[in-house]
Amino acid sequence: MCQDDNKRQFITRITSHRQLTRDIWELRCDLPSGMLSASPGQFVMIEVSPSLQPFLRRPFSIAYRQPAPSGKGEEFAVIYRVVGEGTRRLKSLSPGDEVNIIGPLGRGFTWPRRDDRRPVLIGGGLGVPPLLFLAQRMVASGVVPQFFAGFTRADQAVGLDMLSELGVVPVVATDDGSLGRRGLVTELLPDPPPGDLCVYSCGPLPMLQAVASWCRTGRIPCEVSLENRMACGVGACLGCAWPAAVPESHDRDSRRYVLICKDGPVFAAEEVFAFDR
Amino acid sequence: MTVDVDDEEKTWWRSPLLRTSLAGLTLQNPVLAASGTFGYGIEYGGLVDVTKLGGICTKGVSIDPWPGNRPPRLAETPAGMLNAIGLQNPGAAAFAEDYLSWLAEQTPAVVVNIVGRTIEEYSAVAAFLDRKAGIDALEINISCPNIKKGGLSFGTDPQAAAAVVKAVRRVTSLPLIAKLTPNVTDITQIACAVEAAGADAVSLINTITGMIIDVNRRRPLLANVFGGLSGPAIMPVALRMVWQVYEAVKIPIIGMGGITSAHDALQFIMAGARAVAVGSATFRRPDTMVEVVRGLYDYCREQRTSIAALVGVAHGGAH
Repeated sequence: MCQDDNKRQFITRITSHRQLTRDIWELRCDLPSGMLSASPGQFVMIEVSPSLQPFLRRPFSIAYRQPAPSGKGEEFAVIYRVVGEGTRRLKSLSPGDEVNIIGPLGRGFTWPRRDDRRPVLIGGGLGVPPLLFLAQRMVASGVVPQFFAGFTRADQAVGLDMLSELGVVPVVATDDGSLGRRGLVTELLPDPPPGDLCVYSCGPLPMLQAVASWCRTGRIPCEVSLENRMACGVGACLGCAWPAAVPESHDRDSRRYVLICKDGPVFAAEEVFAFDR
Repeated sequence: MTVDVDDEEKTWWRSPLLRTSLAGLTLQNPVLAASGTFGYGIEYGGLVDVTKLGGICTKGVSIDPWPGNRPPRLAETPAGMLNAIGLQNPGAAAFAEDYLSWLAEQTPAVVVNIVGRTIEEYSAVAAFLDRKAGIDALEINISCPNIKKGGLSFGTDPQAAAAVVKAVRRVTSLPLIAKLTPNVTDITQIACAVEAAGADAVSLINTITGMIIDVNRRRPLLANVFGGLSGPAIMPVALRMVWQVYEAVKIPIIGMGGITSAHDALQFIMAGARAVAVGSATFRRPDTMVEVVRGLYDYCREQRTSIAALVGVAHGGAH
C-alpha cells in the first residue's frame, strides 16, 4: 500500500490569532520544518484541549502559508468558524501558546497541471480559505487564476485581503447583495463554460454539486474539496466515509465509500458525485 | 534476574519487566492497539513507532469485503465517541495481499481480528488466515450481528458465542482470543462459555451501545441510529468487567476500554488483565500507546516490580 508518510505530530507555537468576523477566526502557527511538503487542499488535525474533553482533534484545512514575521521559516494559517465546544476552546488560545498538531494530511489539489488549462477557483463561505493557498501557489508559478467567491453577507466575507495581495481580483456574490452581486456565486459563472478551463472548488455541498454539474456540461475537469466529521484523520477510524459515485448501471449492493481524510479531502468531482439525474 | 541497566534503559519497551504471555504468545510488553482504532497499522506510519508496541489487533477482517454503514458514522460524546462504522473492510484476500506482509515485518505481534455474519463466515475467514504466514493469533469479534438470528449479536448469547469459538477452533491452530461485548447482563457467563469452547484468552470490552440525537434535525445523528461508545467515559465499566471475568475464568484477559495513560493501564492489569489495548486515545494522541509502555516501564522500575507480578494484585490473596 502506498502511504504518504510525511505526516507527523508536532508541537507548534501560535504566532497570531485574530478575529476576522463576528464568529470567524484566523489562527497562524509556526510551520514545522517537517511540514514543508504541506500543499493546497491538505489539512491538519489540531488538539483543541489538553484535557479529555472535548476528546477528539478537529480537522482544519490550511488557508495559506507565508514567511514568518520573525524572518525565520514560515507560518501557516487556518481560518475557522466558532461552532461548538472544540472551536470555542481553540478560540481561547493566544499567541505564544503551544498547540499539538498532526499534518500534513490528505490528498490536496492537483497543481501544477500537465496541461495548460486556465484555472478557475470557486469558493463558498469557509470554502474560500483552502483556495487561498491554491491561489498563492498558482500566482507563485506565474498563473493568475479566476476566482469566484460567495458569502452569505458582507460581514461573513473572508480572504479578500489575501487575494488582493496576490493580485487576484475575485468576482464576489452575497446572498443579500451586501457585497458584490446579489445571489449565488454559481449564478455568476459563464454559461456554457469555456472548454479550456479547469475548476477547483470548496464550499457548501449544494454549491459543489452545482459547480460539478456546470463543469460536466462543458466537459472540463473539476476538483472539489469535501469535509466531514473525523476521529483520526489518517484513514484508520473509517468514520469520515463518503459514498463513492457509482455508475447508474450498478445495483445498490455495489455501494462503496471513500475516506475524506485519506482519499480526499480533494476529489475529482466524478469520484464523489453521481450524475444520474 | 540480572539486567544491565544501561542497556535496558536503551531498550525499555522490551525490558523483561514488561514481558507478558497469553494464549501461548509471549509479548515484549503488554500494550496492544485495539481493533478498529489502528487500521492495519500502516495508516499510522510516521506517527507511531509500532516496533515499540506489544502488538497490533487489526481492524476486523471478513471473508468477503464489507462496505460498512452509511454515514454519518461518527459522533463525539462527553470524554469519548460513538461509532457505527459497520466493520467496513476489504476482505481477507485483500487484507492478506495488501497489508499482512507490512504488519508481519514491522509489528512484534500480529493479532488479526475476524468478523462474520454467520458461523460459516467466521470459519471461512479463520481457515483462510490459518494458511497465511505472519499471524500470531486471531481475535474473534463475537459482537457481530448474527443474520440468521435477526441480527442479534453472537456475543450476547453464551451458546452462540461458544458455537463461534468452537467452529473457529476446528479450522485453525492459531491462538484464539474471544473479544467480548459488554452489552450483556452478566459478562462472566459469556466468558465462561468461550473458555469452555476452547478460547485461549478473552479480550474485553468492546464498545457499549449508545446513541445521540441531533436536536437541530430532531433525528438520531448516526445513520445506524445506535453506535458503540468508546473512550475514557467507559473505563470504569470496562474495569469492573475485567475484575469480574478475572474471578470467573482461568484463561488470560486482555483489558481495554478508555485507556489513555499508564495509570489507566495499571488499573486494568491490577484488576486481572495480562495485557491491555489502547483504542480511541490513539485518535487523539497517536503516541499514546508508546507513552503507556514507557509509563509502565517507569512504574516497574520505581516500584521494583514487573507486569507479570502485578496481574490481578488488586484482588488480594491468591487467584
